[in-house]
Amino acid sequence: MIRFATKRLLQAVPVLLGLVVLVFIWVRLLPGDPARALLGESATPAQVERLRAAYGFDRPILEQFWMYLQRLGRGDFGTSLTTGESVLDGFLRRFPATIELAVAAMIFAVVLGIPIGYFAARHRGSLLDGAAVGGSLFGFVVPVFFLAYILKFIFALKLGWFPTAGRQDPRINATHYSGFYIVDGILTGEWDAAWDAVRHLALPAVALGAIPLAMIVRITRASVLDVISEDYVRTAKAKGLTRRIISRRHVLRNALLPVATIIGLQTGALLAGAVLTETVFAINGVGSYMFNAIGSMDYPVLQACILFVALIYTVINLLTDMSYGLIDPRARLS
Amino acid sequence: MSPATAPVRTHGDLLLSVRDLHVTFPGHTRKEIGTRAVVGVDFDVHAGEILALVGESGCGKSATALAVMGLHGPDVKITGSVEFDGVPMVGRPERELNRLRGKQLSMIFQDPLTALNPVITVEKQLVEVLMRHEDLGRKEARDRSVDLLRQVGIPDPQKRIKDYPHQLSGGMRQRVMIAIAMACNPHLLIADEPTTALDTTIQAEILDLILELATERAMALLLITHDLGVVAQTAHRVAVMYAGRIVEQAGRYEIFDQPRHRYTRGLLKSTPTLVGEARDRLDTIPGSAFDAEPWDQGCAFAPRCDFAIPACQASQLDLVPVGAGGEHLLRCANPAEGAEQ
Amino acid sequence: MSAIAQAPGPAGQTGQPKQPAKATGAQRSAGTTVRVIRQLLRQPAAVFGLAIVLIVILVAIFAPLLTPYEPSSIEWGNQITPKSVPGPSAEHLLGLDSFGSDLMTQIVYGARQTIVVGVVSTGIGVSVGALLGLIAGGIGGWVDTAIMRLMDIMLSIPALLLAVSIVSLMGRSPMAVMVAIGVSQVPIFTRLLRGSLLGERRRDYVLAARSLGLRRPGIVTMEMMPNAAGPLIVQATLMLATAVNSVAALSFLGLSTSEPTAAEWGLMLVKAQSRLVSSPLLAFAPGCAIAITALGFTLLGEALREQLDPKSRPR
Repeated sequence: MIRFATKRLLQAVPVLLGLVVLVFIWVRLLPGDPARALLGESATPAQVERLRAAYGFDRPILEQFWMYLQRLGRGDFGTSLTTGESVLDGFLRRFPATIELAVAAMIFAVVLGIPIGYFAARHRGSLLDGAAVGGSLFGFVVPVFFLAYILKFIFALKLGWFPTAGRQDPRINATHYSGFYIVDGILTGEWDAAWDAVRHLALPAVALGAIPLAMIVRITRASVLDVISEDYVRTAKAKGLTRRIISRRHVLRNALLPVATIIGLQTGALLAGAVLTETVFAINGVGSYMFNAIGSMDYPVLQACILFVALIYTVINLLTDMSYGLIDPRARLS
Repeated sequence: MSPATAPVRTHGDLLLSVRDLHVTFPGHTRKEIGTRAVVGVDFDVHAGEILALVGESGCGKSATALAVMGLHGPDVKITGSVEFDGVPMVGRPERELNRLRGKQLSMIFQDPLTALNPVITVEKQLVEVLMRHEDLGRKEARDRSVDLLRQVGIPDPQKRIKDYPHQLSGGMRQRVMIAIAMACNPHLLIADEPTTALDTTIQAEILDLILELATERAMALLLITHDLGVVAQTAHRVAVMYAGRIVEQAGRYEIFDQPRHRYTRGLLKSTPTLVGEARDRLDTIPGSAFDAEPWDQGCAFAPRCDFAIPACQASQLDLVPVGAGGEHLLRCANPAEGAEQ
Repeated sequence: MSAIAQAPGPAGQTGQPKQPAKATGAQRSAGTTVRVIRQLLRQPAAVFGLAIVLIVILVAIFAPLLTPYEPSSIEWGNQITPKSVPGPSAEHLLGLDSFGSDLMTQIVYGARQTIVVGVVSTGIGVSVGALLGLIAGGIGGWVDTAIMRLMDIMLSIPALLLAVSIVSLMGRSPMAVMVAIGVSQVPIFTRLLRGSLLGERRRDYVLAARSLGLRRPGIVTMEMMPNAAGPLIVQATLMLATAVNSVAALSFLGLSTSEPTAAEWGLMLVKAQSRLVSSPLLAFAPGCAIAITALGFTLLGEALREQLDPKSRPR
């Protein structure tokens, strides 16, 4: 298992390195002078000159790349054009909000998706099955932000069950340590604050979780259908095992292998999807940060965010592969 | 090979009795009539007896076995009666079947690679059946599992028990499968082509192992095979199936020495490794079972049979005793006579 | 083993009526196409999907005949107040939008925009992706490694962000959107084609062709491609659905066009946000248009998969 993990880890290194190269090239390809692109239209010639020297835009390209790597190593990802704040600080400050949202969305998708997919397969052709298949189609085709609108319109604006925007009611005046509002509320014992954060999170999480939910339902269903016709499930029946044990040990365990992959892939996609959802619900997370950066062409922010998100995405996929190795002994060999 | 080690006990207690069994697989659409895999099968298995069910692939022998075990899916239609130890199996609630399966009767499948769960260890797959049916703790079940692996001839069972199926060779896997099936000393063991998926070099070993264990524990064995070479060494009685029905049934020597049904003769002639002189050319039966109409107009084999007479297609053919003793059953309108092949 | 023991029987031996085997051999002729279409027309979901797709395409082609107004005309702008927009009437079937354009006209012309962007971007994705996959799978060796590593890197960036970074290089324009969505699809098609080429490589008919002395490029194009085409067609149809949604997402991010009155469904949806409470129809109309179009492509794609790629179908 350790050998498998190390091998998989080593495979990720060239991908990450390639990613850094790609982002480096991307900055150089931006329209106009890269120094000016990184400083914005309002920069004075003196500022442009200073950055050009600092980043070494007048040096050979390989040397520039080496300087870029050194800056990355120091944690220097540049400063935002619009706020002048360090991009790393800006990102880290908003990160908890996005993590909270993505985790909530994934919990929503997994907790609903796996049972629905499982029972749909087990009762193939039933009304429940039809609803699951139809509903998952719906999840695929409706644009994420349109779904966010609909949820906001019905449950926040018309019914008033949930707040329309933000992460927490500012009047609550909650204490924040970690930036994870729900966790903070629980840690400090401010239950009303935690509950309020949960209510704020509900609609965005559902909107963001819709696509993963649809995916998980479909994959689980298809996978369970495959597995229940496998010979080893017949063997389990021939052993006289109870239906409960067969379902848990022989069907679900095997059927969840492809589901694990999808969960990993979708968790990464959630970070990108957050750009849309956070904006609709006015959550000040990484998504909104990127949204604003796109709007104002704030390249340093955009560059760093793409790098971070891709990095997180790669790490999650790495973890997924390793969990795959944990569930399926055959995967460790190849 | 040890063909004669098993005592011939055809008159043991009646263990399994199958009467007028029909198995119909669903069609692809609702209107389509399903595939009739088994169309009226009768046979008995007595305690300690080895009955071989022989036929080409697709003749319904596996479908029969699965019906006995109650392992067909809910959309497969099964009628007729299967009585095991005097209790009806068809239409019995799953819960009660589960108490019997793995304990009173168990099954070995053709391909051990797919029949074993790939993601759990050999230990778990053995322990779970012991813990289900025997009143054992995890520790005891584990010790018993190691014993079982030793009994089926797996070297270093303490270590092998931690393996996953893919880490074992084909022969070892089938030994594990046998250990699982034998774990609770069932009265009846069904072996569905247990050696077909294995290398020819180890087929005999595995077959010998099954026979040895079955004899040792006085289990009845329902051996399903297309290979008459296997039958020649093992079975007490042989039932030959064609297109979903038994066409001939007799004691082992009787079947080989005095086959009466034309299909049985064809099967024997087309088997290469049979007692007697080597032939230059193997005979094949013209046509294929695929053309067979399942018994609606007389004999299903008639279209392929060189000896078909009008009576074959007209009459309702029953499985009736021929000759003395009443042990030799035949379903044929124009049977072969005498001992020549 | 005896000859008769191998004869196929009337029922599956293990009692598992398996799906029909995938058509092997390189001949996927015109006859196959006809058969596939005939099979498709028997599935209600496929017919439904096909109908949606055809309707959207027809609307896109005949947009000027379907509405008397110009899509970007804001001649009724004086009827718009900060609080409300006129709802449906005989003159304006869906009412006006927040700039004073006819909503129905915008939806109709939006179909044109959606189809063009979807088809062009997926076309870029398929052609570039298939070409790279062909090179990688056909040549192999270090070329294969290099291409597939690049694809891994591209896949490590979520598709939406990849598209965003491409648009920022090219400047916001409909063309940039098409290229961006197309490029973000490339890795999917490259992997797909390479995978099926490698899978086919070991198949008997390829070995047979090799033993006959056919050279490798010949085998790849003449023998293997037709078999890899099925999954490619299926994936392309499904990616059209994704593209329709991606366009909307890029519009939402303000990257599709700088023309505020352009007839583009995603853009319309964005503009409707501020009037969600007073005029939900402004969001509902384009939102449903996007969803229905995507549904059409998805249903069609999945029905095609059932026919062309039975191995990978999620039943």
